[in-house]
Amino acid sequence: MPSLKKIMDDFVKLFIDEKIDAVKLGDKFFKLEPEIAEFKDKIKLKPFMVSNYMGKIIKGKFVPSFILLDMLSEISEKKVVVKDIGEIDFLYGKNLKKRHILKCPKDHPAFVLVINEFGNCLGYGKLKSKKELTVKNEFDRGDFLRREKK
Amino acid sequence: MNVFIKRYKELGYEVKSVNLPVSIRTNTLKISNDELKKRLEKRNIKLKKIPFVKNGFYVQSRFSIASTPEHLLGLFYIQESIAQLPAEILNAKGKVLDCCASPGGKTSQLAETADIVVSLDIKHKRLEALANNLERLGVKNVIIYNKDARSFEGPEFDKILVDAPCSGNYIIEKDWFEKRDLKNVAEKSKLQKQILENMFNVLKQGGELVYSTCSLEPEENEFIVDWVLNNFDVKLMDLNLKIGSKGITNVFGKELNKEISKCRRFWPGKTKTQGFFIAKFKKNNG
Repeated sequence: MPSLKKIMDDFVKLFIDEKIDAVKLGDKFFKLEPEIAEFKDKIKLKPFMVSNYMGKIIKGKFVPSFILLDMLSEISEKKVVVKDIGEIDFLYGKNLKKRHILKCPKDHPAFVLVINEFGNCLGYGKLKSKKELTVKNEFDRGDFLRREKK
Repeated sequence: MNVFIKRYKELGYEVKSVNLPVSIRTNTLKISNDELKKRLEKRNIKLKKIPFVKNGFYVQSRFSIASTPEHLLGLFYIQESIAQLPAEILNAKGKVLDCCASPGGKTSQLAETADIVVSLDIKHKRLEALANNLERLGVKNVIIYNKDARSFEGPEFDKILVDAPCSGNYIIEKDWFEKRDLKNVAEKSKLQKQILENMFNVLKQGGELVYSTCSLEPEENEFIVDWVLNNFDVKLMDLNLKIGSKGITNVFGKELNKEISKCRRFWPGKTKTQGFFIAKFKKNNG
């Protein structure tokens, strides 16, 4: 059984070579800036959350935060750019088809970040065969609404 | 006549109904007002600048703006126009405490300019909504605690926002006049005093505290400010607002501190907003 931190590191590795320094609080990972960490220590309470939230592990799978996806999309080259219609479909949890995609990396990585025309990261997915060029939705920012409805 | 309607009349206000327009606040951590306007107008959503806040727009849309990509991407927060004012008036800098923070609209607004924001909320269930909103908005400098503001102990803060639990108002709650009585108001007033008492303990000397409620009841507003001025070493600050009426200094025959006119009271029929009240204090040095 890999450590929880390794599960997060393996996820990050799908998109960038660097590791992200994160600390675990409960079942969630956070990137703590020194000033925040220092101030947190002055309050003798267990925080519910620190807002630079990186993600959590659910049933052995890492679920990234929107903040982590934004961070990765600033560095990573592994991303597909989608048209407006693809953006809405993807945020509704659907997979992307060739007609949705404006730009795709030439080296055809296994996983890609999905970006709109303005450079905002919508989520990530699994890139399927070169011929069909489809992206299977693994996680998208529509998750915010799904969580709120629960 | 309902007791509240009668009281408002005595204070010079005739009850009027107001349809609140949907309003949003730009998340300036991610986008400018102009860029957001362009992007939403491409989706046939019309925006009109709210004149009394920096980053707010009234919205006209045929569909729910909550399901737009721009909302999911955290480019804006859906927030009533007047509710955008307290955080703006506090002008967050340094270490800031938001003591009744859920669902996070004001916390995220404070986080745009503060170094660190500490957010408290007594209800654990509401913290999930707060955390979800901060994640969506890309806020990175907030620490959240499940804690009652009345018993919070910690380091001193440069600025504090007390958007206090209150009895609400007739614009935002259906059948408000039938649901509330003066006993509810007295209970909230007691709670507000307890929160403020502890918040002045953790406010730095020279630090600033904004107190706001969405109540129209003087016991939760002017009487609270009068009590603060009589019991703490603080002064009231001018709000420099072009909207709202001055705080009332003669309430039901009782003369209050004249400084209270520096506060602002928002009668819905006059401001076309929900009912609201804002006061800003500065803690004296030594």
